[in-house]
Order: sequence, then structure tokens, then C-alpha cells
Amino acid sequence: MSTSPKPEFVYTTYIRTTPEKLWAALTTDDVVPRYWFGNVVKSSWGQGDAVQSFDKDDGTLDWDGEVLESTPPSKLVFTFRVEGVPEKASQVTYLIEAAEAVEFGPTGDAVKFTVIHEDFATDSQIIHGVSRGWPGILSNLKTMLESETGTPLGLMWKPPAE
Amino acid sequence: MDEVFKALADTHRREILDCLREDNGQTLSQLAAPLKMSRQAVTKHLVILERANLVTSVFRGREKLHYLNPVPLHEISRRWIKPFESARLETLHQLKTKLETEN
Repeated sequence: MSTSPKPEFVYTTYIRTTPEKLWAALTTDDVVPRYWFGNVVKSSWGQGDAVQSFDKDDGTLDWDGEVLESTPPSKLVFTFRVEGVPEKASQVTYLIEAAEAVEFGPTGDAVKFTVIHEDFATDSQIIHGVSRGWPGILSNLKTMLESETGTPLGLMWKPPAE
Repeated sequence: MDEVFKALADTHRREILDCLREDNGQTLSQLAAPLKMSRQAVTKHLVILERANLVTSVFRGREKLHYLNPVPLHEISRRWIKPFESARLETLHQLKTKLETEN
């Protein structure tokens, strides 16, 4: 990895939930469509397993990939290849870390969720669409998980210790 | 949300965000050079931007790379802009850009 160029996209959101609940939301077939614009994402999410995402309207394959690393509830890495676009697969990493919410409670009440999307093909055709998609997915996910806990987490937090 | 507005209420911090928009994923030294700010000043601004979650980072080897994180801005726009308004606002924005670049 050290020889690879820098990641193209890094997105972060802070969610009032637990790492286990966030992991479940990311890896449960019938929960994913609630924040992923209706797309149905199917996988067993073990290392080497296939990941397939289907369009909500016509059920056709939208993108697929393979799980490269699966460490519940903290790290998930998978490849990402858009159907019908003849270019190499890019790579998505989910990082889940406990974060201390300054205003809203003790450590463990908030989770830092980071999405790294990298290793795109040169002159990638999908890079623009991808950059428009993630912020919406992350904020949908935050809204969904926090409406379950009842208390939205404001944007006041302390980053996890480095 | 206060943190986001406070972070944005400073020219230097908006310059840092513009700089990341141009070239996402920069180290502290890379950011400090074109901005003509000291490393200490950039560090101070980055702490505020990271607290507001407008900047996020990853480590690659020993390097800390900083990224513009639009997620809080997305949440703000979603709070005050209804989905059906987006297209009309984009049209207005394009008109403004077109007219102002003609001058």
C-alpha cells in the first residue's frame, strides 16, 4: 500500500451509535437500502466474499466487488467495480472508531466513521459520480442511526487519540 | 453546527479549504507553502477545521494527508434547501457565474 498514490476521497461523519450497530447497518442486506438511495447491497461480508449492489428500480447489477478485509466492528475493505464501465476496480475502506462526544456523553457513545475511496483508474469515468454519492450516503446513515437512538449528535466532538 | 459556521468565518481557513478543493490530500507542509502561512498558523487552523469535521485525514506511512470533508456542509444544505429547490438554485448559480465571467 505504501507505493500506492494518495487516496482520491476521504469522508468522515460522527454518529451517535455504537461500533456494533454501525457495523450491522453497513452489513445487513435489508438495512443498506434505507440509506444507500434504495440500492440493495448483498454480501456475506467475510474476506473473499463477493459484494453485489442492485438498482432499486429494475434490479439490475449496479456495482460489484470482493471483500479484501473484514474485521468486525472496525474495518471493512472491498473492491468496487461499476457494471458496464470498462475500467479497473477501485477500493473502498470503512473505518469505525469510538469517538468521545464532548457535549453528549462519555466515550463510546459516538462513533467516527470514515470512508476512504481510492485506487481509481487513470481518467476514471466513475470518479465524479462517486464523489457526489458518498456525502449523501453518510448523512442518510447518520440520520437513520440517530433517529433510532432519538438524540442526534451535533457537530461537537473530540477526535479519537492518534 | 456552531463549530462549522465558526470554522468557516475566517478567510485563512476558507483558503485552506479552497486549497484542498484544488488538490485533495495534502500534508501540513504542502498546505503551508502556497498559503504563505507559518506551519504553526496552518496547524492551528487545521485543528479548528478538523473539530468542525470540515477537514478529515488519513495516515499514509508517516504522512498525515488532509482532505476536504463536505459531509457537514451536505447536512447543512439538506436542512435548509429542499430537494426540489436544488435545480433552480443551480440554474441561478450558473447564470450568475456566466454573467460575472462575461464582465
